[in-house]
Amino acid sequence: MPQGDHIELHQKRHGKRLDHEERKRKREAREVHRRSKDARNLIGAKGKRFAKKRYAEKAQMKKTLKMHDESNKRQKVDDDVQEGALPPYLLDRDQTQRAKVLSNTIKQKRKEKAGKWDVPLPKVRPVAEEEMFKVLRTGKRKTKQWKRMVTKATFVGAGFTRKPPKYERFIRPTGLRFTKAHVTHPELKCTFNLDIISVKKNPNGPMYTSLGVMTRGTIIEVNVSELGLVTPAGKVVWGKYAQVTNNPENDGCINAVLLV
Amino acid sequence: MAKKKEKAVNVSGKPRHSNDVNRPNDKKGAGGGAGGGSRSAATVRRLKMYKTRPKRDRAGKVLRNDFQSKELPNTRIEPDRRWFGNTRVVGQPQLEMFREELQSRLSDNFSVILKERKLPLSLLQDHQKQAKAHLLEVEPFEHAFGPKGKRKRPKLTALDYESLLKRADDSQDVFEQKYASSKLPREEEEDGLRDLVRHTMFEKGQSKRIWGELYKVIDSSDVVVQVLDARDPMGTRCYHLERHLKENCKHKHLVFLLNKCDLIPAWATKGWLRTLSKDYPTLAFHASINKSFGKGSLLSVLRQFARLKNDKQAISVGFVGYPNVGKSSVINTLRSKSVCKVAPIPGETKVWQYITLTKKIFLIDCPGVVYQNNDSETDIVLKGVVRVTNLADAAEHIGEVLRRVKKEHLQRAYKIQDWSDDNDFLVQLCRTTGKLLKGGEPDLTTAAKMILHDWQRGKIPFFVPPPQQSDGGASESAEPIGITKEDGVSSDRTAAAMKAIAGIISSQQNMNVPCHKENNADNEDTTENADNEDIESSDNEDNDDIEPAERSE
Repeated sequence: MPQGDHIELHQKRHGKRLDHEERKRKREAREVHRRSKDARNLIGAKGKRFAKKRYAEKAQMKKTLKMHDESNKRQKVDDDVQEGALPPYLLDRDQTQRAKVLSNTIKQKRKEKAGKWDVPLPKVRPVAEEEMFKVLRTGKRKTKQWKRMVTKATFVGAGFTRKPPKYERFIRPTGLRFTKAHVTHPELKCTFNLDIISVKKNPNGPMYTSLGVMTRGTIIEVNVSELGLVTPAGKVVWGKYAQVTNNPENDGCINAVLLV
Repeated sequence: MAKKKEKAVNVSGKPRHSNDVNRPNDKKGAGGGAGGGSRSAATVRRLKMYKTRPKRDRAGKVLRNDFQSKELPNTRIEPDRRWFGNTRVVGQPQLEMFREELQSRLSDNFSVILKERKLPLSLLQDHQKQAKAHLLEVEPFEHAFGPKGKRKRPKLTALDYESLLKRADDSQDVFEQKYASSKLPREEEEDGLRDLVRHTMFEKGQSKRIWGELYKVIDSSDVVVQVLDARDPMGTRCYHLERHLKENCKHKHLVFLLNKCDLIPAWATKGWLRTLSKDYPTLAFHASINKSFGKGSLLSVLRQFARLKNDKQAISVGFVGYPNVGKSSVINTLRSKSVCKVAPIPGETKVWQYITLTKKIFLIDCPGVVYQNNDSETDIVLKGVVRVTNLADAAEHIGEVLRRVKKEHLQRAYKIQDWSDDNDFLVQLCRTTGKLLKGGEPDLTTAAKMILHDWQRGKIPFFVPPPQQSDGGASESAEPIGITKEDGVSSDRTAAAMKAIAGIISSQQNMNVPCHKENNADNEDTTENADNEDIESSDNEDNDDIEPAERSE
């Protein structure tokens, strides 16, 4: 019997360990670390042999990857063409040129189509609840901690009245309420001071939308009757959306871009 | 926050803890099980909300608190073509119809716009933009400078010194006229002297804390009741507040309440009601828990406002006005018991108070506010803004009292028949009441304080007469004004509510107002027998008034 077959023979007679597959998988996973350790620590002739072997393996791997890449795209036609097989007026034409142009055109169209209905600020910095609300302690001994004060700019509308104190959980300060916004028309490049009609969507969540909180990126509805817009049917437009572009709680005013 | 698992519902019916749903919602049901309803789920949730606290670990670090998490939300806005369309469009015929309807009703005191948000109000108002000076259009650059220049002489508004001086004088006159029209009615004479620094006591009701309380009350009120002193309605009126409500809070309603109407004659009350009803709805009132006037009318008006705002669960009524006009007393009268602390001195109410009148009506008490104006110290004292006991020199205000009150009232009140001036009057009063210092000197300060106390409490009769009015104006103001056009179910109810409010106010104007016996004597001296008959019938109607109030309770 050959000398190296004793392991297989033993497994054949007595079976493998119960965790054989587990240990094998882990050993294969550790192979990378063992190879790295050898690359760092082997010296002398052993190091030279190891490096030579690794170089050959890597070169082979790169060739394989390149072969896979080449199969996905068009390759350039080989220049070994017999004389007379191609007419002279076709010699300088590249067969892949048209395919490239088509590919670029399709990509551009897809990109334009995807971004047509994007708002000017599609993603803004998120605001956590801890930053949005401040705990308000009430009561004779200041032990009631169920009220929250909104620390951002808000819009409350024309018919707003605060709730009775024992039903009101979210308090919107008077000093942080706004009724007007500086709205810029992106095509006309001019800015108007328009009334806010409502808060349509706050990107941080629907609760802030219902509270009327206006942070950066909020979609608000503004009164555009001052702009004199009309529809093709001849009706007067007096409501349009705009997106807030600044931080109102820091600047003390609301700057927005009209969505046209 | 995920909902916690609810515990098993208590089936036996006996309450186990203070937040149990089987616990009766009011005190009446505490005795028996049949009386009083159980708590609703919303009430149980709300009571549980009051006990929320931050959850802490053993070391005291906060682990979790409601609405205080550090988790960051997803802030991406999906592309959508609806962001770029028009949200509100109105056609030309609807706009024309809307403009005609609104122009006729905007100045009506008894008409209300229900949903202002859905109406293009700004399309009706013409923008008053300031015209910019387009200088380059009038005169281009090359006309003034360069080889093609045509201008020989600069264009000036005045060519010589005299015309420039005349233009300056004209603009100064225009400015003075404009400034004089916006001035307060009482103008100070320019005698070249500067006023003395006033004691801080005379700035009661003007501090930032007091005005913060006022704006808090206004912010929380649907209806604002401005309580005026019937003896001096125009002096205790806050014009700044009315202007603020008209400009910035159009959806809130302002009602005048003429309190202390028992201290003035009936004809004066009627006159003031007619005069003030031209601006806002006005009611006469006498604040007393047992014997009040106008309570039924005020309750009816508040109920109509609650019907007007039936889309809301409850309305809040804020009581604002000058110090010592009786705001807390009015609330005690409406509740028929003492829920607010009252005192005959100004400044008893210090913070705002929230009182439940019914399930749908809340009352808010407000400390007295005073707007900065050109009142002198005597005016401030006689309005009742300052506490008399704190006055250092009370005797200097007695001259004005003697000037405003009739002589027979002072004779009857203080048993002094004749006096030459205010000092002589004070000396005689000191001797009569025994307010003497060592050596028999009269204590003028104490006597003056006594008089001012009597003035504030109404022992000395005094009132400002209403301005004279023609009969045509009276009949016009007494009639109820037109009703809002009916547009739907809610508008129909609103029209009924506003019609009822106008009816209540006009009926109270036609009602006879009661007054004290002293005022009866006063009226006997000055008026005819017909007024006496009115006074006698007013007593009967007063008795009739008490019974409907009790029935309404």
